[in-house]
Amino acid sequence: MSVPKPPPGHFTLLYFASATSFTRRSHDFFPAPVLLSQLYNAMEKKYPGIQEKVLSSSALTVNLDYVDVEEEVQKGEQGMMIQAGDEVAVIPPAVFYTAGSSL
Amino acid sequence: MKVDSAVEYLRSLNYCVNYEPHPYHLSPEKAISFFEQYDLVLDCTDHPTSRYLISDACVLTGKPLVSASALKTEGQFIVLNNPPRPPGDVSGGPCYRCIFPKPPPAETVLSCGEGGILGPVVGVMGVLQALEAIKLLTAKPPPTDLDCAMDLTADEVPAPVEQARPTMLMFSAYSSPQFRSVRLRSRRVACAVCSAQATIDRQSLTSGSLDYVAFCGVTTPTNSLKPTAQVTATEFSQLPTDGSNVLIDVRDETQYAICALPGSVNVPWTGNADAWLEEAIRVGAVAELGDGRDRYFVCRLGHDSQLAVKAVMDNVLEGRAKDIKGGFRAWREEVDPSWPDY
Repeated sequence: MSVPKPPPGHFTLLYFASATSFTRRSHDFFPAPVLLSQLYNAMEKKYPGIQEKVLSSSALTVNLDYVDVEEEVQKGEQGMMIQAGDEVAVIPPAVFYTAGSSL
Repeated sequence: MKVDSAVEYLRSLNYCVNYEPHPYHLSPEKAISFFEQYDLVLDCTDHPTSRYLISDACVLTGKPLVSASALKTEGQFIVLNNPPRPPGDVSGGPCYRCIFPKPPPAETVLSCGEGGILGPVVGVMGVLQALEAIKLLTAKPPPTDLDCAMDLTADEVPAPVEQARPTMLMFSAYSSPQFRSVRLRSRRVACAVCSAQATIDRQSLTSGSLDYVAFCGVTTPTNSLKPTAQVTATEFSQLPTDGSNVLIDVRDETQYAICALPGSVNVPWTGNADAWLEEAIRVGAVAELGDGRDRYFVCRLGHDSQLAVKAVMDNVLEGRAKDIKGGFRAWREEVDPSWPDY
């Protein structure tokens, strides 16, 4: 399952853990350039419900660097741009709830 | 108890080590006094509530935390709160909340989707954890100001040790590459526990006022259906197999491949009602306008199947969708003891 190179003008979005289960894919290619703060909207359009159920609790990395999405949203137009060829990853925490379990 | 088997096994590997079992759930009230007795904590749990509690208690007691987790075929490995500076000190390492400030919504990850763990994946994560624990315990302590002051002959200031940037190591058995090292940021400016704006302190834990279960929104298993929309496994087993009903199995493909009832249709529940319904209609499991046949829904423990019943009741199959209460666990207990207990 090696991820192929994105087509020209696109970046790679990698999914892990529950992001893989939700999208039922290991990766997607999205058009670039795009503002990082706009990425979640683009994903929500493609996968309705993903923002609340997966993205809100996930870490996001761009080219293996952790990015604070809230911070990027606050920066608005001045925020980070995702460029063609970039590798963005959605990393949900690797945890699960078991029925009825509690501390 | 798991802790006793762990001690027994570890002792057979190395009897020279002193093992102290703490045979109870780690509670916020106890965490601080427990952790204070040790130099280092390893988090080997898999539940969000314990992840947050252990991380918070490590920050508040100034202990580095070696955290590893595994799920299905993937693992995550992070050394947190290293160096373990006091809350508000920006030179300290980030904590679990800095990386995952919000827990995943409980209903999306409850029970049925867990899908188990591949043993060697846990092994990979555990070995990494053990290695890092040894490195941390044997590391030379950094020189303190006191050391410098006492060493009066020292005429040069020791160069500050460059701190390695914290990373999270991701392992994914089926990805290429299998390992990815993600560069993390330092402590989050508004972190609830390790920043200068922290709202969680020792008192919040020891008084028990911080409710981790509520923070993670953990719910009891769903019970959202009317009794008329549910049947027991026994009742289901007595239904005719003449095509007058359809069994829809909403477990993921992996679980379905382990064991499934003949004639059942697999439409894995993904957490999104609309997308799931679309898929169920596409594969012909659910007829858009109803076709007079009853639909029965089943999953591993009876949670996701209820959500699926809700999804179709709200939309298409008013009155003709029923949940098999307790899922395949109940099936095993009530009907078929040879059903795999996975």
